[in-house]
Amino acid sequence: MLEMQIPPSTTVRQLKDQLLLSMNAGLTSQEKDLNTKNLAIIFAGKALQDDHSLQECLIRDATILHVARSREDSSTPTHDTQQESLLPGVSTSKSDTESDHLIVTREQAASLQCAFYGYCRESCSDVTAVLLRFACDKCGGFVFVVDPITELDTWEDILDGGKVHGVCYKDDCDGTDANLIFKCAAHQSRGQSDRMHYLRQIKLNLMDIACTTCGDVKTPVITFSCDPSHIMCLSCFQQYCAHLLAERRFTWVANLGSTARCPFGCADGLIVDPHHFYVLGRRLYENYKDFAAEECFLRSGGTYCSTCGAPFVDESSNFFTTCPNGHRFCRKCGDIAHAGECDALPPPEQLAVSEKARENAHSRQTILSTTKPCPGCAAPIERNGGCMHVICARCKKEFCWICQTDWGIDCMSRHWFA
Amino acid sequence: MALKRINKELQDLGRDPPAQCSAGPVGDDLFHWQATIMGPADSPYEGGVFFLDIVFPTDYPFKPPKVSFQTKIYHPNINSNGSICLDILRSQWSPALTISKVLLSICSLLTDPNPDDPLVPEIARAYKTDREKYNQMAREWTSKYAM
Repeated sequence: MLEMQIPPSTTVRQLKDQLLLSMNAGLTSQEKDLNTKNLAIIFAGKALQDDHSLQECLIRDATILHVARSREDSSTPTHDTQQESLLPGVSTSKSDTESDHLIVTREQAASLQCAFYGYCRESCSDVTAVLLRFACDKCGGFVFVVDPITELDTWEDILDGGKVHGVCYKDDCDGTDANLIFKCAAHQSRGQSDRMHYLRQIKLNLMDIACTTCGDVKTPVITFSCDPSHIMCLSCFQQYCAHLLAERRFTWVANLGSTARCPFGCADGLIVDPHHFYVLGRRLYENYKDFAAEECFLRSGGTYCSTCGAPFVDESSNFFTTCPNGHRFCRKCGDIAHAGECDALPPPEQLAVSEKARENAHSRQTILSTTKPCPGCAAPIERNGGCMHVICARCKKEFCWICQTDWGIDCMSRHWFA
Repeated sequence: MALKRINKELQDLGRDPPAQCSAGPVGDDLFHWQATIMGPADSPYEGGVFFLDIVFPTDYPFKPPKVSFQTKIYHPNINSNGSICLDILRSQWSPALTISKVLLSICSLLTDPNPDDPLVPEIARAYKTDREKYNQMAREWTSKYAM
């Protein structure tokens, strides 16, 4: 094993030259005929091309490369190889100028034909190529050499957090187990804890399939879980999810929660890991999480207080219910407990004492005057166009906007389009 | 995005138009199209040419286009204003659908009306109870308004 510190902008050819120089001392006269054409540098199962820089090949700190030597003057290495390893150190990249920093932009990352993608929330706020590292279970370091993988470990197991065996080469560490972890390839690592979530439904579009929505051929793309998997480019997926969120049209799946369905409606075409909704961006992803939590809570029989928003469960069938903070409200119209019909509420001026309470009462009045409660779940619904056949976005009840009862043949004949 | 996708659909329609349908922009505005559907051969609308008006929303294809008949038609799912009762134009819309697929769906709605979800109950009743009368009325309206 040979340790080397190399700046990331070094090309593979320069690396070979440097390698020959440092190897020359220990070589026999016959072997000194070696030139760069006889060497192949192998990383991730591929012989690297001479004109690529290490940065372009996604080679980072503490990377182990294999050097293969062939006697014939051919570009393919023979099996008669001598293995050398090198460890480009972090110190070189730190002392380099700005332009030499170990940064791969999104465009570059896409052109590198990386097979793994994730969403970098720490620094890039974008879908970026993922670097795979085996992190020692004991010390967390990345200088870990994995034993040949046995038939007991499938790649899927390892991606799902299964352990692999090997040897940790960090000073004084005798760790023998490691986990696969993922790091963003597009920004300089901020240490061992700077990790990201691998998104397995983002894949390279190797067969140049057109996006189901915009028709462009792009890569990488989102692949739905149907067979054959339908694809959507990342920008369409982002807009698609934003619309699903705004219209509350996420699909509810018992073991997944709220998720997006394949645009072709395939029964088995889903996004199976909700972390893919990271592509919505930080703010909308938070909205998605709120939505998904609310949906899950409502589906398990919960209620939200109409005054303070506190979630609670009341299994009685009483007309009025009381939240844990003591707010009593009507289940039908969502307004505070009142005598008589739901619309017989006194005006806010008479009702509220404090400024805040008056404001709340005014908001409630505005909501009451611009919306109608869903006959199924009492959610206030605003109608901004279309016909009188309304489907509640929350409980999916179909009702007539005019009659506020179930949608039926009578409404169709009398006032469908009013 | 919307404009690019609409342009692409326009090109696809030119290259490979669906049988019995045609569609294209009304003027300079690519968001406003008109379309024609020829009455399907195995229906009482045979021989008629029906004009439709299509308006694309700015966030197309994430929102459905608004499609309505300009030609009067005797059909249980199309009312006198030309409004169409079709799930894919409302709750079942998907960005993977195209104008070409929508027009084909409307064609099949002409061949197979859905009397259980009627927009015009009298026509639905005729279709269900007196098919001969329905066929005759539909043929009359077709020759009066669509030929």
